[in-house]
Amino acid sequence: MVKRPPNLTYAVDDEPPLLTNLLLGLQHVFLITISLIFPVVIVRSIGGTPQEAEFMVSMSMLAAGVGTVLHALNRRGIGSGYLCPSLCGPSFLSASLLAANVGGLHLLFGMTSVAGLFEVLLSRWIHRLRVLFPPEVTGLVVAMVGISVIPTALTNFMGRNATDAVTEMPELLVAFVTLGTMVGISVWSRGKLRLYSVLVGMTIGYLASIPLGILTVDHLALFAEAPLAAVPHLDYFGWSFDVALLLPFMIAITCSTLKTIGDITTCQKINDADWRRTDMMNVGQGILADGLSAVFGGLVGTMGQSTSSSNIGLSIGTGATSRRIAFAIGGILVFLAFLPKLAMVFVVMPEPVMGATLIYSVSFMIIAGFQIIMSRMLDARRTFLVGIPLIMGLSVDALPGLYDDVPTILSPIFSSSLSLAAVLVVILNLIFRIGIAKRQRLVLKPGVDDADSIFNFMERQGAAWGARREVIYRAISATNELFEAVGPTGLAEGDIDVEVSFDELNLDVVARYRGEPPALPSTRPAEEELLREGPSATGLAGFMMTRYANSVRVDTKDGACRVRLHFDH
Amino acid sequence: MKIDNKSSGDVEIILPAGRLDAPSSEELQERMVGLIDGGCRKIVANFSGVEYISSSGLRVMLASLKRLRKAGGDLKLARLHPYVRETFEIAGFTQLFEIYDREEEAVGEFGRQDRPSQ
Repeated sequence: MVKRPPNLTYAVDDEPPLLTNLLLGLQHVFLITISLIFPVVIVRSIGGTPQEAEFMVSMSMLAAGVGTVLHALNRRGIGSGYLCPSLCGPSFLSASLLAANVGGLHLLFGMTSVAGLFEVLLSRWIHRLRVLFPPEVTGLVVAMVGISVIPTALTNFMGRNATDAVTEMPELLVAFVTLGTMVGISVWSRGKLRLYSVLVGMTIGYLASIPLGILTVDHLALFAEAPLAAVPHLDYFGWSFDVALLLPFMIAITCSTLKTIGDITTCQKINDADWRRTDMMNVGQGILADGLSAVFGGLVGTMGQSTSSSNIGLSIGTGATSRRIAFAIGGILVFLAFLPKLAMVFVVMPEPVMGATLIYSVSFMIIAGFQIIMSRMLDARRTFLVGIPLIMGLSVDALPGLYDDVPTILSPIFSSSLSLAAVLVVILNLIFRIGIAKRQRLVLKPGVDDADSIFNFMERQGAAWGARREVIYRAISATNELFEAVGPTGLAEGDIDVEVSFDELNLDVVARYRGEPPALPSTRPAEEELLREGPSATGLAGFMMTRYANSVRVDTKDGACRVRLHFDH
Repeated sequence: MKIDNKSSGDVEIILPAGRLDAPSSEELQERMVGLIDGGCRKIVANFSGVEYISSSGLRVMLASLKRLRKAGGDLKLARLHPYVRETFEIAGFTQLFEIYDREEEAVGEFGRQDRPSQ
């Protein structure tokens, strides 16, 4: 049962009023258009014409719009049902550049569709791979999804790009005013203004950019020259394939899939106050939508589509995660794909405004990732599982050029902090599973052991298993109540043999000893009874046991007693 | 288990620290009995250092509360960790004890009760 988080103004199933929905959708579109730089980069890398770039940008908007709607659908097994917008996936950039340079845009389109088909197939059995994606793995992927955007966010925030390496004071001013407005509204505003924090911040950023000379007459000229409406030129369509490019595209789609798992995990978490673990069936539906978006992207003539972490961050910040917003986004993007003049408003977005918006959104993603990681107990093994991929991933951005010499075929992994960290954490998770016993024993000696013995054993095991802290605490409490009920009172005639077993959904404690079973009253004993001494006073311990555990079963045979405590995990 | 205590006027403040299970509850019981037998009637138990309490610990607290109230005194609790508070709730003890977020509030409540109503 999903519990609605109190910080959401519009939760996933809510229906915002039409105008509100359109404005919230528009806010997301501003953020999505930042990714339109990727098709431009690809076309420029092969010396393509501005018309080719314009075509690919339009088709990217169309694919992003369709992808966003597919993700929100949750019909016939397609889509996770969340507001999880789609855009040109950065994971595809490296493979896309390779394809475009080897065989032109048609090869890029063809290979993108093939990669999408692979993801569609993957979506059919990804739910069986739950073991690969415990919370510390998905949490790290979510955090890295945010961290990987930092270089883009900061470069833009400082008003820089590939041809401009200087930060000017007006750019900084616009950046801080934009970010300050967004953060200020999110933190201090009351009522529904928080919903539009990014839209208001961006509008102020745009307006401030005009007198400060960041938005110039040249930009306005671009807007004026763009045709009001246009349909894509049929000459640009075409598809070709090259077996040699299969591997880089498979790697790209795998990285993109890992990112999508992280994004959908975040969507699940932000929409359920009682979130415990990734719902892999739901992720499978999201991956299917992602794959279909990539297939569609290739068919209409653009690069691979992937879920947008920044937009999920935006939905957290504004407290609006309604799937209805996804339909508004989809509609606006499809509309813009055929209206170049309007689309130009987004294309000329000043870099500092772009950077401020990314910083705002990414903050939420990074924190959401660490929250997912910390929802579980971590021992040394799990610390390395998170720490090593985090460090290696960060090295991609911190030490540019470090992985320049890796084989081209592997470059999609080593060209992005997210890809490297995600691939490593999945591999390390498999390696670190070696040697973790799912069943462990503890022998409790009445008169010798105490609660500390149970705490030390259970906390160590909980961390090795990556269990939820609160469930382990309840198991400790119940086991100690059992020990106190049968140990000092003499109900157990000797040692108590405790066996604890764990899988992701269950934690079971089975205690065996020779002697009498404990009393398990269904109501708390009366106060007078609690103040008595000796075995008759153990009713409270038995009662507490039944409250801590989800179920308690006791059976005796030939003087041997077995107490089974079950905890849902 | 480490158990400190201090005074604030005529209120005795007891500060147990660690895990309050069956063996450590006996220590706490001895300390409480000593305070009550020594004439102390107003006690605040500051639980900020207690990370776990078992049913044995709960029974010691209940026994102390009963003895104090019978003698015209009271036992108030302050600064319970979330898990410890949950244990009190599960046992239905939050209806028996007055529980405060801060030690000063619990001590101040004794002073307020002492003042004659206007």
